[in-house]
Amino acid sequence: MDLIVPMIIISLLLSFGFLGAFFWAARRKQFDDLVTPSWRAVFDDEFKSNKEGEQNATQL
Amino acid sequence: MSTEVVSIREGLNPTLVCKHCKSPITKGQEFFDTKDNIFCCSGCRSVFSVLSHCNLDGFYAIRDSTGSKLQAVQEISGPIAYLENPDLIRKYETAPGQMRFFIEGLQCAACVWVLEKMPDLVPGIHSVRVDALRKTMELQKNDDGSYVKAVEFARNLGYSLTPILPGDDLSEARRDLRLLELKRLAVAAVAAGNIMLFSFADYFGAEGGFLELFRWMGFALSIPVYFFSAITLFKGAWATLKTRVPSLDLPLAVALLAGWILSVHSLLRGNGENIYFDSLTFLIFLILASRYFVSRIQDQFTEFSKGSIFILPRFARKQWSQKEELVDPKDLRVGDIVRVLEGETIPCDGVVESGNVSVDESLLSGESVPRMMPKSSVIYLGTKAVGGEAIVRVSVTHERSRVASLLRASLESATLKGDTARSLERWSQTFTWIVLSLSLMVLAWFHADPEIGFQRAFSLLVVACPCALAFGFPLLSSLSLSKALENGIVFRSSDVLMRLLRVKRIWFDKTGTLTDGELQLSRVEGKFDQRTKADLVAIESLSRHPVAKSIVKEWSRVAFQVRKVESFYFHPAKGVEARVEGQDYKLISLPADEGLNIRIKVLRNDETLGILEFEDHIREESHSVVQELSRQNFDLGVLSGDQNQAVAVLAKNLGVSSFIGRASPEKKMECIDEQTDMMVGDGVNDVGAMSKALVGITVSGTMEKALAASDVLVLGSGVKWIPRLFTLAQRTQRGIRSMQIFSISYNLLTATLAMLGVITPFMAALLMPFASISVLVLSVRAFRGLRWT
Repeated sequence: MDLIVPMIIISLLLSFGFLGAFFWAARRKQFDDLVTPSWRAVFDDEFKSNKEGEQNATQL
Repeated sequence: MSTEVVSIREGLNPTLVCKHCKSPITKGQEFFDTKDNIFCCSGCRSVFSVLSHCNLDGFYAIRDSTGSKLQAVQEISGPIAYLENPDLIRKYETAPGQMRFFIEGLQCAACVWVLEKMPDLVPGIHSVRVDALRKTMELQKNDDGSYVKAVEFARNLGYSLTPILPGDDLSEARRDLRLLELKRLAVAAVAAGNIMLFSFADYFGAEGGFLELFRWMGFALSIPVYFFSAITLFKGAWATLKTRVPSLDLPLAVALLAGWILSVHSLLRGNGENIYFDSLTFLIFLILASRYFVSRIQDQFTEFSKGSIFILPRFARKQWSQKEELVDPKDLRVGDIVRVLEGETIPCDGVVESGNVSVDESLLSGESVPRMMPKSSVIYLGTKAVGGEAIVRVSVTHERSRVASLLRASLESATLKGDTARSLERWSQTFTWIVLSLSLMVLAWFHADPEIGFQRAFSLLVVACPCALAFGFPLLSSLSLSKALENGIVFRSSDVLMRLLRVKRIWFDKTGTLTDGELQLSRVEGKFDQRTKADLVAIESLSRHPVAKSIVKEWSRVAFQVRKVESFYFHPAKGVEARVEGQDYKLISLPADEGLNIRIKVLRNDETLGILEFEDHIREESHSVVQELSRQNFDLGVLSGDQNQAVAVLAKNLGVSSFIGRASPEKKMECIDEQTDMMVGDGVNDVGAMSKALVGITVSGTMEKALAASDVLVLGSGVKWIPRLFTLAQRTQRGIRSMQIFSISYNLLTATLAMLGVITPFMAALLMPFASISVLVLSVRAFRGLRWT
């Protein structure tokens, strides 16, 4: 049962860590546009196979 | 590269497809480029050549890998030089060198890719970032870059860019609000999850110091949920008390606060009888989540319909003591003189002072054939000068113009529609007063033993939670709205679904709704050889008149040769006079005989060659939709600004019994009964009628034209899905019914048991998630097996 106190602390740290990560991502506008970035992932592949891959397909 | 050939079904009939948009082409009607690639139209050909010239062939790889379907390229015209005017630029820039644009023609991932390649291809452009969902892009240029070059580049690829005036776009503020809501939801989720884990200690009978610790942790975690996440609920409840407008927030706030105070009280007294931090926070989480999803879906409507503000002109050529100055149309004063050139949008309501201009008034009248505007005739803001030019004196200010007034009227009526929401709130209000007074009665009944009274009263409060009302109905409507959205149908609000059930009569607009809004060459009288056709194509490609567009579309496939047009005179509403390589041509518009068709007489060197007849084409699906709707016993009618004759012919053709022609927007409004009528139109010239109607539906092929006046926006599929909307509404209603039945029987049963003391507060807390889950299941079940095809 002594273990339970550190366990509680760890579980709380974990969940608040994730909450913090979420707030950070939200502030970095990562939830602004949920569609276009997923398309950009496709561009990278296409671009490397088509061209020499010397530059990035997207200007981020 | 070789010609692309694919075979359809049986593999016997090879079909040619366009290299760019992949639409099938009839043999003999294809366009070739220098490498023998084939295209369906000249627009697709030029986009292909620009793309391959700029080494952007990757576009097609992306198109194929994402399975996107392209539409044939539309030619884009219209002025852009105003983007060089420093005063206007300053108005539009969001930061120095940075401007946001609304993109028309954005279709798929490949389009995003091409637009974002702009910095590599257009000198002086620093970066481009596209938001595909909102159809906007943010462009950052260097000091030497020019916005005009960027817009021109996009135009060559078939995209039209319109600058967004900062402040015109409300989505920014809404986006910040949604982000805050998302944060509130996240806090509630984390806290509720942890509190629930801690309360297992209570459920499984922990004892002593640990139990105490876990209870205090639950209390600590509930604080951010109450004072950060649920603060909007409490604010709403407070507003209810102040304004006396019924809202669900008040009963919820009372229940939540009562539960919390009881829990804290019980915690401080050290007995664990009445600690409900877990159920309370979980309930807050559920309520916030359902509200968040509903508002996200409603946002989508505003995003889709915001294109409407971009039909308004961006600039005016104000005449200023022999000089011309570009100004914002909103800054025009009564009596100012402006010049309007061919292809531009009229920037004001005014009177023609001089000039020879023909105006496409389809925005207001729905009449697709341009009208000649002689001196001292009145022209309106938002209509388009398709031929000639004019000097116009401004007669009213921007905000009092006809289009702006119609727009405002539609926005005002939008806020008045909300009956379903209001009746739902009144319902929940009654519900809560009943529950609250019952609890008080229980307290009074057990005044001798307040411990028992308090326990029973609280079990009642918790168990009789209005789950169905609080999040069941919003969830159900958001589900049905997203079902519709999957098929390109956007609802302004869930209220519209319920109003659909009251529709008795459906009015259709003609041009662009039942017909596809483009003239089509339907009959050729006399002989036109290849050469003549090529000459006519060359002449007509200089004009933007619908007749000209139709000739170019029809004949440039069969007869495309480079011809030199030596002279060209456009006589608005009369015809065209032109000289092509030594031949004099006259195209004279004849009075219509049967109303529906437009007839053009063609003369070469004053010798009649023949007559061309054009008709507006009925959409394929119009017939089946009319049939299905009349089978469902709706009264159908056609309401159009076109000539009576044309409307009559169309109505007869489709088997629609009632029709009204020559209807101005104001006349259309008069025809509509706001209690029973639904109006289906292209959302431009029927704005007033749409907002007055019980339900207004916009079905234009392009959402850019749609105004915020309509309740439902159909993207791309035309009138095809309109019968399906009624099915969706019926399903939703059935879902609500079953939820009501469940809710009433559940609440009656559990409330009675709670008052009798059979249900303890602890059991009540366990029952609450059960009720929530049942409501979830009911709403998902409501749409099972709903087919769209």
